[in-house]
Amino acid sequence: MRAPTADVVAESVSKCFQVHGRTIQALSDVSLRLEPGSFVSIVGRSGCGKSTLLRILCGLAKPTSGTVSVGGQPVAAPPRQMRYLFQDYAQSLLPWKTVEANIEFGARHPCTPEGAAGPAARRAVVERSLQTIELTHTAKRYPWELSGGMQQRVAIGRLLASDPQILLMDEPFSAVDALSRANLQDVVLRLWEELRLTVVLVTHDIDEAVYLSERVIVVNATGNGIDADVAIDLPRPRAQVETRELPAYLDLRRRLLRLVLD
Amino acid sequence: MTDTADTAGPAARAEPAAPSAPPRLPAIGARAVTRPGPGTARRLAGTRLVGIVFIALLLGLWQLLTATKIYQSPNVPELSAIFIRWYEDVRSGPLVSDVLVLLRTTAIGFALAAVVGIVLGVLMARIPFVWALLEPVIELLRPIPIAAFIPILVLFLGIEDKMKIGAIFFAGIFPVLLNSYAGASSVSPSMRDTARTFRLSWFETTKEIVVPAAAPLIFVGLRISMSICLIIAVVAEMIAGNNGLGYFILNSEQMFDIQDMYVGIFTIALVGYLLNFVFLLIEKTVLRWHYGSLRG
Repeated sequence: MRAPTADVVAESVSKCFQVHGRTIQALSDVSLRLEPGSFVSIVGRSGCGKSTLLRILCGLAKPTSGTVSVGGQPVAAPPRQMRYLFQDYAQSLLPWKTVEANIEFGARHPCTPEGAAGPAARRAVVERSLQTIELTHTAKRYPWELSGGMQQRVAIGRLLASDPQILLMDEPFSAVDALSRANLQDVVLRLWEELRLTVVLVTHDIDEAVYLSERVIVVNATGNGIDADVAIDLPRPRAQVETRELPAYLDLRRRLLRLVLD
Repeated sequence: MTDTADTAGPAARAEPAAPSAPPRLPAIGARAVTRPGPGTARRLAGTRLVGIVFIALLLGLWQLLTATKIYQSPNVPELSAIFIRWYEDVRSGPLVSDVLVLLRTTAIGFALAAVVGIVLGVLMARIPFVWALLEPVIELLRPIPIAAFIPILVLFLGIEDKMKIGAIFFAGIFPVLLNSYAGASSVSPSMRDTARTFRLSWFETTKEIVVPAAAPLIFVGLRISMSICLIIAVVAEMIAGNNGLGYFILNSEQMFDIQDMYVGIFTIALVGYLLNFVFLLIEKTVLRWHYGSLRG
């Protein structure tokens, strides 16, 4: 498995929106650097601009000022080595395609030009992705025939089929039930470890951030810079029950909750 | 990965849909089986069968009133006589070839309207300049009744096929065009962002995302257009030319061959119904995902 090479750097990024003639400052002067292969969560109060920050990091939105670069290249449009997991999987998966065809879509639009060239190679990539997300038995079904958790797994499978180095996730598990969420968290953790991805997760769920990450960044409640950058030095592999009972976990959770709530 | 959380979802969802599944509460299942009578009647009461019986009753009333001479008019022949004439017309005479003439011009005009309408509608949604260029023209032309166009079309295209196809095209293009535009404009933001993050080109986005997402509305437009095209084809045949089902009806009326006139009208009703039926079959197949996702 190749090593991740690209780091993500944001330098004094600001974003204003014009709403009914009024200027709303969504983000101001946010700088951060994400190491290749790291698992970083971005948390913050609702409306603090954390989703906007993520959209700017992958070139879906343009910063009003400041710069973003991935692997040293300035970001103007979504960079090739990056893929994005959306919260509303039902609007992101293509409902006219089967699970298999949705994943094949990822293989047909790979992150590297040499990735999955030719039908045979694509076929193999689709098979592998289906196995990874354990949905081989639903290959011929349509996404809307599956539960929410399974649909989000299809979306993850589609990303994997295009073989990204960096995975951005915008509240990806907030629309699924609690048990599916735990399952999806472990899927992402396993993929991060096996594929050495760089993962950036935006979430409002402090527990999720602490459980998954190496590092949690707290965006200021008014979007004015970063309030805290907390290293999560919990042992790995992490486990849903045991990790969440560790005193160190509870300490980190308490500290981050205070930072976000106060 | 543990699968316990997810596999319960679809299985539970599929259960009520499958009538063959053994009922969990046998008492309720047994009761449903022992009383099929009222249930069956109620079920049929909600189907098309009721409407078909209603039509049969109306036709029966027609036959009854004309055969018993309770209602007498040279304008309304006996229904059985119309059906007999219908049978004769199908075996010999111009009826079948006139139907084919009608279907041919309708098909060509509709196909042109569909292709041009879909392409322009999608381009208007995808390219702001095309929208800015065409929107005023379309909104200016759209309210003009096609009848007002026909003299111009006759001037330029004569009174044969070209004029008829032109009229069908102009009448049929707007519903497809406007619905294609609406469908292609309403692709959800997440789906657009999906296309962007997978780095699809403009053409790939149009082909792989926008057109399939717009397909349900495109089909709505096509269905409206098809019925308009058929209407205009019949009218065009009545105004100009010397063949086609529209000509058949008008000519029969002018020759005081009232039975043939009704035969023509009945034939058009049947042709229209069958066209719509075939169209719905195609739509159900192409948009299976759409109807499925609406239920799911």
